[in-house]
Amino acid sequence: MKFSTALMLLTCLFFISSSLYSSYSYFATTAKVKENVLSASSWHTPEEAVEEVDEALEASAAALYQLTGQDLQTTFSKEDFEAAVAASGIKIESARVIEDPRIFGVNGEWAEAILELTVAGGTSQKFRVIFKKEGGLWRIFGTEEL
Amino acid sequence: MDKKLILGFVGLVVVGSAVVAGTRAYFSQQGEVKSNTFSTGTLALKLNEAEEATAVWNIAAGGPGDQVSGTVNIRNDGSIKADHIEITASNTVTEAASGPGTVSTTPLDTVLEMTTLTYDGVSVLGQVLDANGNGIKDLDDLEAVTLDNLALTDTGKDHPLAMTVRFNPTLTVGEHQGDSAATTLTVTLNQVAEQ
Repeated sequence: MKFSTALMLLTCLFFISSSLYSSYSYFATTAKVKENVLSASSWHTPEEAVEEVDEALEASAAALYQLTGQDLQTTFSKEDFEAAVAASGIKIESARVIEDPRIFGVNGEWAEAILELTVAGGTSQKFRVIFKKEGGLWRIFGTEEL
Repeated sequence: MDKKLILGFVGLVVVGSAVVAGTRAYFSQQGEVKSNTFSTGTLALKLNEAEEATAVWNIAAGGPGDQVSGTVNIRNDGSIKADHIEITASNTVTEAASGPGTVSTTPLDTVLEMTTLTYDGVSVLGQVLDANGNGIKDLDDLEAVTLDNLALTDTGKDHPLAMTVRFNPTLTVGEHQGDSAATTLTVTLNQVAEQ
């Protein structure tokens, strides 16, 4: 086949293809759903709760009691709690976070962190502190000695 | 042949021709077919009865676990029937200007979880894959797909697209505070299945 013939054939095919293509153009129309904005506010985080516990442990039993949850406060009154801490004779020198808090539970209503408490004399002990979210605030649900 | 005879013959030929011609004259009447307008039909996509919808899913001040549900009614108000719609999403995440939200973390749209997504009452959440691999189907995943072949074959009837979105309670962290995500959905109404 001559080059010129081939070129003509290709040109014809191009126009046939174009006409076929244009015959398959259909209607379409678009519309938008705009301004769906989801904004996060400020909230009490488990990290903040751990910091608060950290400070309260070194401060006073009364301060720590303020950070406990409803279940614990139902079981112990503030006075009983303070008395129990005083009776133990333990004076916490320092507290540090060993494991950052981790949120868990189906609806993320639980969190846990591991703290290491050092008492007078230099003895240290690790505790798992369980937090429960109550009214948007993380409160101490209980502790477990590790 | 004398002149009279010739004239008489010519006259006969003329009359004869006229008779022949007359026998070939058919009845006809002219008229005009006016104003032949070829108009195309239209597809007219309406979202909540308007050209576009706004703020269907909104939370002004959310936190972990907070959720919102919204519905947009999709309708073809045109004069010709279509086949289906397809939907794409585009998110714009804005970091907080101050506070813990300024600390870098995962983008907010990756923790905005779609717990339900239905079209005409049937779940289409299966079309959304966990593209970012964080274990949930979120608005970032929605951005990665085109929801396609959602039937819309009638006219003048609403077809609800409903979605519930929540701040995933475990993936939403303190560093997300003050962040926001704005989502735009683009709905395309297609005439035929091949589109």
